[in-house]
Amino acid sequence: MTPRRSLVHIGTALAAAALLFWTVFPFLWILLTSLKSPGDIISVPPTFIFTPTLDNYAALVIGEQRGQYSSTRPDFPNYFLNSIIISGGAVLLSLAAGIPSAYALARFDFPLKGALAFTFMSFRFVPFIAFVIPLYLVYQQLGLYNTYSGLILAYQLITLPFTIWMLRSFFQEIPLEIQEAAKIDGCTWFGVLTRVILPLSMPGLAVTIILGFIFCWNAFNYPLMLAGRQTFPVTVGAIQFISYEQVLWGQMAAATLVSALPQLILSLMVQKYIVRGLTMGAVK
Amino acid sequence: MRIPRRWLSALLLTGLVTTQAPPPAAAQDSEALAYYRQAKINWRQAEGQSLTIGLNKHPFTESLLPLIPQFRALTGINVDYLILPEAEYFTKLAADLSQQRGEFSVIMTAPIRNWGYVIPDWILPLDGFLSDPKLTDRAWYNLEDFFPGLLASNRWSGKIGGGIGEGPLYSIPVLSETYILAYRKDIFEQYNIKIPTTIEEMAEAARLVKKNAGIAGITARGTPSVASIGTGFISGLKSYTDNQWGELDAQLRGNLHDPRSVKYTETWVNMVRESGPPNWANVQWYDAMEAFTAGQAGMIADADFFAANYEDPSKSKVAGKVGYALLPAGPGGKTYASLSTWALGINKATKNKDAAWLFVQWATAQRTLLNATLGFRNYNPTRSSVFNDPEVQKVMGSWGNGNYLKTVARNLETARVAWIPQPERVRVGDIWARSLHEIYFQKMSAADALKRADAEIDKVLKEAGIRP
Repeated sequence: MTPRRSLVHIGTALAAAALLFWTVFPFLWILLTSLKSPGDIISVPPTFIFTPTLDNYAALVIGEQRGQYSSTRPDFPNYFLNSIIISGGAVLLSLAAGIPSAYALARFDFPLKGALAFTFMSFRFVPFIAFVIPLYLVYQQLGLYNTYSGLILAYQLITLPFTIWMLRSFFQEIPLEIQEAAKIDGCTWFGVLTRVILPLSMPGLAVTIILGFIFCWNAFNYPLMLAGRQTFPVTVGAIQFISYEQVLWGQMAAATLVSALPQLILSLMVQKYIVRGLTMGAVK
Repeated sequence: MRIPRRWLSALLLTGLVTTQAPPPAAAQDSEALAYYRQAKINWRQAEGQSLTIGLNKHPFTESLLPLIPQFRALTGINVDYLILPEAEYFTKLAADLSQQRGEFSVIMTAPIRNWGYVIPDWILPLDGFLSDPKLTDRAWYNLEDFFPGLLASNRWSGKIGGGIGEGPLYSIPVLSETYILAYRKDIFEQYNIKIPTTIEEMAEAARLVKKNAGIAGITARGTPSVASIGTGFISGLKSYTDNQWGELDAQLRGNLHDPRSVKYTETWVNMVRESGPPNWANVQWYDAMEAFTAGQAGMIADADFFAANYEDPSKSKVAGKVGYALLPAGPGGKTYASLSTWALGINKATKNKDAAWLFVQWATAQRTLLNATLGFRNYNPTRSSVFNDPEVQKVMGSWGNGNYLKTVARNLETARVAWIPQPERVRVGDIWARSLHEIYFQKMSAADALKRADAEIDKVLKEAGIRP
């Protein structure tokens, strides 16, 4: 190896390390905070050597009051379960409605196709407040307020346009010839979709599902206005650690880390698809 | 594989079961019920009805939750609740009130919030409930036990620009806060720094702390929002002007350009720039409180009850080292600190009004409020019997060697709601706070920045139809 090449290697390694630090540091900080006691958390300069405690995690599950340092009853396990139900349900519903729509928009010709596609997209860039007050009123009347089904429906504003547009572009990537070959072999349009298009767009599907799930998981404003105590997801749950006279940073950090776990696990599981999906169609 | 799975389900089960508050011991329960049953009213007159209570995340709220089964046993009324931190709570509450859906029957509010709710007729006056012997046993409830000034602050005639303490009572106070000066007694003594009695002395004390002890001389809220105005800053300004000045004049025009206001603002902002924390422009209430608790500042002019945190040895580095004093006075020698209370009110759109009142009466009864303070740090109490309870006195009396109690009691003599009553208080406060930033970053002189803020305030109040 020439000295010049090793210099390049060192440079790359340093850049990678800097990028890694930049990405991981916030998580590391949250992790440290979640293991600290209240005194260590607010100490200036920040302490890096301290007696770690799991109290913050314990408080998430049981909620308790110790001495003068009061904890809260955050109902965290319920919020966590709610997040999984609502986000999972929203993504499934979006797929059920989005796959046929995306297929139609990608492969069929019909009047007002462009306008329709754009209308779907427009839901993405209208501010949430334009929807949320009318939804609040309608939900109160229909009994959808503070229900899982109501929230899953409302979350379609987040996931459905996104699902349709993502899948549409993935479907368009698949050469028309494959589709026609399948038709010659006797497939109906539904057969083409389920036997050819969907298997070929697995990476695209994986990316759509993961990103959709993450968008839902992170949603805050819709559940704040449309959910109640019984259906709050973790995002609204995590702010419950801001009280009137103090902020329970340690418990909030623990809640944040636990909340991030499902997204992390899902992303790791489909990592190779994500990379393929994100770069698919980059050179065309 | 079998064992771990069993562990897992056991763990999940524990999680689900223990999130429910454990039922209070039966003996304690019946003793408590006996206390409430002394009231000569029929607690069960609204039996079977349901209420949803909208609450701010707050020590008082924490104290109520375990007691809700007790309320159900007493009244047969079903109670559900929703708790959110302040900002999110008021967003959600505004949505409910403005649509008149009556989702929340009982709400947690404050005098300055009521101004926005009374004019559109969203909340109920409570005097009717209080004077109805079917609904309230006045002798048992003992409204006179509440500090008169705190009750008065929850009355409003509905007249924009005045009328605090007159007219209907819109909410019952459950916590009071006034604004005082907390300072590091150890540092002040070590470097022979005088406890400030004027704003100029306060700036000088801040300078000396920074120079000698190497920490910020003072910490204060600094984000460009109304929250940065309403505590120490406005209290100091009201005192500086001997309570002869308000942010709006008699014609409801912006009055920030008044020379006294300009002078005070200049001194305050210079003090914060020269001796305050370097990140002042981003400091929230908890940043300021925590910086002082962590020993990073010599003074803080903010809510009195933050002392509960300063004096908590499990997290504070300054427990036992804090002195408490009134904010600097004006030429008249008196302090006029601002005052706020958290309070319970009733949504006009609720269907079960009597049930809602029974809840308010129960939640603000002497025993309930005493429990909130003793068990859940609900400082400062609003009933004088709770304030003077020996146990409560022991806790608060230990802060600053008794100095805390004395300071708060003296402050309450003259403290009053500093803001001019009008529904656009938040927008006015935001404009005001932004002008402090312009002065802090030296984009404008104090006189120019405040004059410009006044013009903006005039425009906002005109648009809102408050001023012709």
